[in-house]
Amino acid sequence: MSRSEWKRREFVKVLLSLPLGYAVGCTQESGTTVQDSLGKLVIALGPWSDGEREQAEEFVGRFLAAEHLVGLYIPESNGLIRSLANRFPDGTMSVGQLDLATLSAEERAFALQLVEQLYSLIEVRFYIANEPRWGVCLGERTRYTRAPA
Amino acid sequence: MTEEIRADYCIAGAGPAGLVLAAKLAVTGKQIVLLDQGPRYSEADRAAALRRGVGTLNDYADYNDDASDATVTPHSSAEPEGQVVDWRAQRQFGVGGTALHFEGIMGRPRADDLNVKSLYGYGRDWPIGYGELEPWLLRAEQEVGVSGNDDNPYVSPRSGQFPMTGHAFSYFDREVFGPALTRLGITGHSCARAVPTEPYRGRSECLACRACKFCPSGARYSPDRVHLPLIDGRENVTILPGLSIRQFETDPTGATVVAAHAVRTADATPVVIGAEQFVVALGGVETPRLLMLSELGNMGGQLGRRFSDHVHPYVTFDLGHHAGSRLGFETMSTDHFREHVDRRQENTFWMLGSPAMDWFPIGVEAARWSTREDALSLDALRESIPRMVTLSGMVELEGNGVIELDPDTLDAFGSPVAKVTMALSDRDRRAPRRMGDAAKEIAEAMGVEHASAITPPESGLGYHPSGATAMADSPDDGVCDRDLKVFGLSNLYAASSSVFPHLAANPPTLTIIALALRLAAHLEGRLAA
Repeated sequence: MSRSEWKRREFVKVLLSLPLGYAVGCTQESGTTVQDSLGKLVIALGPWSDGEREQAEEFVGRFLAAEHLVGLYIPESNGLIRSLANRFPDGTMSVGQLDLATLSAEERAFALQLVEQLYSLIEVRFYIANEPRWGVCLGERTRYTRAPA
Repeated sequence: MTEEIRADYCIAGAGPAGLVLAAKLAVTGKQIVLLDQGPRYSEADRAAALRRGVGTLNDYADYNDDASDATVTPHSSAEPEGQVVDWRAQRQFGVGGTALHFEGIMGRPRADDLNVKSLYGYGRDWPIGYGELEPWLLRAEQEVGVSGNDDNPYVSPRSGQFPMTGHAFSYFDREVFGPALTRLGITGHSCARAVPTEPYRGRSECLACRACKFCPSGARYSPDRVHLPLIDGRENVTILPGLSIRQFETDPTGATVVAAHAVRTADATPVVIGAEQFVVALGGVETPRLLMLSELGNMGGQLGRRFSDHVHPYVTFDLGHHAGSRLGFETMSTDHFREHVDRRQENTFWMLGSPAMDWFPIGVEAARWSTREDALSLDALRESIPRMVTLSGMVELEGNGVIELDPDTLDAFGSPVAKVTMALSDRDRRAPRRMGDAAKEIAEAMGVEHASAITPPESGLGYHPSGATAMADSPDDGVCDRDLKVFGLSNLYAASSSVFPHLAANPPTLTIIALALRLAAHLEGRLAA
């Protein structure tokens, strides 16, 4: 385990039980499209609006490729991801509400953990708060002093 | 074959203490060897680490992420009452040390922080008073370029101004945090930072990149960016990254160190460094460990004792309206709870507030607070993120921890690692709860309707290890004398937070650098004058 993996595990505690990486690891072996299903879920539950599909897909690509998620997950992940993704029509973005009552206990736990994880990522938080991307030098030093619009 | 090097000064550790010391001693023309177990990071390495963080959506990416145990020495921890101390996330090995990634907060100790034992009956007194330390704190501020304003009513007297004005208060600090503090009779003041508000000695002013760990603009002080260039390429200075010091060798009397035995981390080839003077500047854990491995510095049985750290409690809540933007760090803090506390009974703490959006993984709270019965409102969750606020603090501890060698866990070269045992007293345990109570009052003063929904204070240890080779007037009370010379040895010195007899609620880096400057003056023979 790399040190950065460890840090995320310790600090973003939701990662500890998110059954995601194992499923991603299995994708190629089984020849299924779990990655596609997971990407569809992230886009549906994420904050991006209709006109930002390209941006959302670019994010999903990095989300799936993030090696620090590998190794945390359980074999049942594939089925959970698929069944949850199938609840949303293709192309769904920025779902307003998730009806937890219609989900199985496992689906519910998975969906909540995925949301907690997703909205803990700095890039998502910055997007929501309309902040320029992390690490980009603004130069404009008084921006933070102004009242939010 | 063993490589042999000879110098006037051998400085083990190229963190802020070691690099500042080397830079000051270099101008004397003396031969200096400066070694560090970690690598030397280039600007390209910094940029790559930031890109890696962005690419993998991991804002906790850091310099040592891919380092092996040969570069980052592990340590073990006892688990008394669940207080596991783990520095894997915070430790930094490399030229620049922990100041490679620090936040640049440059708080000072108060005068009474140096006399807690005699004034309040806990901890240990420093052998030097505030009057003696203060000029060095001022020089340290000038050395690293600290921005701040003379607006802190709780600080002990200063003998000079900050080198530059502080950062303008953020919207949150000016309109939310500060007014709430005022309603409670508390003063919010500027938060001194080693982040310039104007160009300073070749560094840019802060450009608001909001990735301070890597500071793409080069504004924030980092020893490898400021003090390393002062010695790089000098004929009389040899810089040796990737060299792990294993132990010191003394002459037959045991009173003088004659050599430092080291190995190259790449291939374990041995290197022996002979010098007239030796300085251990390996930080709060490895400094005492090296003395233990060398069986030196324990005349009075104090080596490794009274180890301390800070507890960092934090709470999160929904402000109810947008909390504003952030420069990348807080612009206001308060030392109120360092002064208005009955120190005979309670520990002090320092406090600041901030929009949580850009530095806390608040998805957990946001999701839970947006879940009602059988529905998760993602709309509500998204709206809540910019409203969320974190109040956090730095709590002093009594200093009852212990560092010892762990014979059951060996480092990459076969030596026992340091085992950390934190022992928290009742007052240590009360302090984070008290900060949580204060945070709740401040939240209510901000107009937060549901302050009861504030998260219970969570806290962590492991950022500021200190005290295990404390300076003292006698070996019965510490490991080194007031000039940082290890008791019983004629030519071995220590320079790090490990020499603090007591760690107050302020971050330690400014004091570390102040003591390094003072040690340089002592070694040059200037201190007495």
